[in-house]
Amino acid sequence: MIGKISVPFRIVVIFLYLFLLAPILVVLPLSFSNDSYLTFPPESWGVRWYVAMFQHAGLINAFWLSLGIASVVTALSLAVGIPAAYAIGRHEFRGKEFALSLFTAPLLLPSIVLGLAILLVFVQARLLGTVTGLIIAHLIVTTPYVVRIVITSLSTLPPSVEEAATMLGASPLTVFRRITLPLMAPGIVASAALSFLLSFDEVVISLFITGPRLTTLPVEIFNYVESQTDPMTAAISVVLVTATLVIIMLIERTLGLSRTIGK
Amino acid sequence: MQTLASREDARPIAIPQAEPQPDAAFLRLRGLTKRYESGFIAVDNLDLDLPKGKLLGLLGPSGCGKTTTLRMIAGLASVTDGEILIGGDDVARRAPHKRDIGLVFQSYALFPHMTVAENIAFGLDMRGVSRQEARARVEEALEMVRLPGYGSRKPKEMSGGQQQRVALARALVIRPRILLLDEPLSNLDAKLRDDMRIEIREIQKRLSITTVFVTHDQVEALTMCDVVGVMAGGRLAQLGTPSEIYEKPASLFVAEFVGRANVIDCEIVGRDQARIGDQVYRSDTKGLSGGKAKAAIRPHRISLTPDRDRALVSNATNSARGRIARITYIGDIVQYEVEINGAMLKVEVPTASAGHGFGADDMLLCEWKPQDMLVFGS
Ligand SMILES: Nc1ncnc2c1ncn2[C@@H]1O[C@H](COP(=O)(O)OP(=O)(O)O)[C@@H](O)[C@H]1O
Ligand SMILES: [Mg+2]
Repeated sequence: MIGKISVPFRIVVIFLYLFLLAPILVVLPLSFSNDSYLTFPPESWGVRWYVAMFQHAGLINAFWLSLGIASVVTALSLAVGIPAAYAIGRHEFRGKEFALSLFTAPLLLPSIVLGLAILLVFVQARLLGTVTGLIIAHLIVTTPYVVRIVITSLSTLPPSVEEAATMLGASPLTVFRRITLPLMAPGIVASAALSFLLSFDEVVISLFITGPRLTTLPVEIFNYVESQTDPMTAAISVVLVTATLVIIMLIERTLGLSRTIGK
Repeated sequence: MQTLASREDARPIAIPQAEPQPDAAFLRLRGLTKRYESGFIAVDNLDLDLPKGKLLGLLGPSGCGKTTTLRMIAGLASVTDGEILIGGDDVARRAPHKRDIGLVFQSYALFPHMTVAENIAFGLDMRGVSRQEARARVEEALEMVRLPGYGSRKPKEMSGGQQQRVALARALVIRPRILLLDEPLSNLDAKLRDDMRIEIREIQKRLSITTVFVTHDQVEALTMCDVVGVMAGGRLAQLGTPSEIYEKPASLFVAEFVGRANVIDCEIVGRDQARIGDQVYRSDTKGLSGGKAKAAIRPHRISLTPDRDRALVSNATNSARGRIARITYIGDIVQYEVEINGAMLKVEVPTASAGHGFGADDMLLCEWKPQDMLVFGS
C-alpha cells in the first residue's frame, strides 16, 4: 500500500512497535516461571501458573461471566448503535447535533467520573451487583464507539448508491437490508469486535458495580494482583493477549482489518 | 393508497401505460417549486411540458437548480409546491420507489458489492420478475449498452465509461416511464463523452423513452436534445428546440450562455435600428424602439473582407470598418479582435479560409446580417 518508506521513518516505526510490545515481551517469559514470586528473570521454568490459573475457580467463573456479558453487550450495542448511527448519518432532523453529542459524550468523560455517576444512579435503581447493571454500564461505554464507527463507515458510502436502489423500486427497509447493511458490514464487524473487547476488558466502571458475588474477569484479576504477587497474572495476560490477537486475526482474514477500520 | 397499489400490481411490466395522444405532454411540471430549509428557493415556479418519447435537456450554469428539479421529479427531494404529472397522474407526493422512474447519477452509483448482472437485475427483482426472465432481460440490457458478457464483473473492475453504461442499463431494464440523467457524461474524458452522447441518444430514440437530461454543457444540450430548457436562478429562461435557443435566444443571458457572443452596449434609435458609437445598424430589436440596450453578435456570424474605404448599411448586411487589435490562433478557427467605433468585436473565421493576408493593425470591413444582431433592452 505504502510504496517507499524512508529509513528514518522506518526506525521510528520499529521503536514505536518495540515500545508498544515491550510489556508483552516481558510478560511472555515471566508467565513460564515456576517461581512462587515475581522475579525477573525467572529462576525456574515451567507451566505451573498456567495450570494454577485454570484451577482457580474464581477466575474461571469470572471468565464465563465476562464472556457472557461481553456477548450480550456487543449484541445490544449494535442493536442500539446501528439505528442511531443510521439516523444521525443519513437523515436531517431537529436536534441531530444534540443526539450525536448525547451518544458520544461518554467517549470524552473520564471512566472514573462515568463510574461514579453510574454508581449514584444504580444505588437508587437497585442495580448494583446485578448482571443487568453491569450490562447497562458497559453499554454506556461501548455504544458511543459503535455509533462513531458506523457513522464513519456510512460517510464513506455515498447516499446516491442507496438512492439508486430506491429509484429501482426498493422500499426504505429493502434499501437498508440489501444495500446499506451489506456495505456497512466492515464497520459493523469492527465495532462489534471493539464492543466485545471493551466490555471484556472494562475495569474502572465495573469496579463500582461488581460485588463479592458478582465479579468480571478484569475485576477478579485486579483483586488478585492486589493481594498476590505471583507469576499467575503473567500467565493470564498471555492468554488474554493471545485470545485478542486471534480475534483480530480472524477479522483480518475474513474482511481485512484495513478495510474495517478505514479506507 | 388502495388504488395506487392495485394499479401497480395490475400493470404488466412489459406493456407500457395506456398511451395518451401522441402529441400530448407526457411529463408536465406545473408551478414546481423547491424551497430548502434554509429558505433558499432553488426552483421557482417551473412550468414545462414534454411530449412522450422526447429528450429534454435542462441546461444552465452550476447552481441554477437543475439537479433539484430532477430530484423532485424522481422523488428524492420533496416538492415544496406544484405538480409533477406523468401520463396524467400527479406523482409529486408519491414515494420515489413507487414512481417507476429510471435515474442515472453523475457518479454512476453502482452497487459495489454486486456484480454487473446483479446490479442490473436489482430493479427486476424488486418487481418480482422471475429469475429466468430476469436473466434474459439482463443479457438483453447488456447487449443494448454494448457490454455483452460483462455480467459477472464487479463494478470496480470496469472503466468509467463502462460503469456509466451499466448504470444506464440498470435504469432502463425496468422499462421506466421516464428516464432521468444527471450530468451523466461529466466524469468521462472528451473522446468517450462524444461516443456516449451518440450512444445515449440512439438508445433513447430506439426505446422512444421520455427523457430529461441535465447538463451544464451547451454542446450536449444542443446536439442531443429535442427540446432544451435553459435555466437560470431556479427559473426557466427559455424552452425551445436547439435551433430556437441558439438562433432566437429570449434573453441576453441565453445568448451568452448558449454559444459565444459579442455583447456590445448600444442604443435603440428606432424599430430594428441600433446605434453603436456614431454608426446605426440594422438589427433585430424584437419590437423595442428606444432606449439603452445590449447587442449580441456571434463571433462566427461576422465575416471579414479587406477594407473598401466605405462602411455601408444596406438592408442585406451591416458593415463596420475596423482595425485588427489581436489575432489568436485556436486550431480549427482563428479569432480576430477587431476594434470598431470604440467597441471590441471578436470575429471567428475557420482556419481553412482564414485569409492569412490579415495581420495585426490591418484595416478591414466586418459584415454581419441584421438578423444576427440581437438587441436586448437593458
Ligand atoms: N440541501 C440543500 N439545502 C440548501 N440549499 C441547497 C441544497 N441543495 C442544493 N442547494 C442550493 O440550491 C441551488 C441549486 O442546486 P442544484 O439543483 O444542485 O443546482 P445545479 O444542479 O443546477 O448545479 C444551489 O444554489 C445550491 O446551493
Ligand atoms: Mg447538479
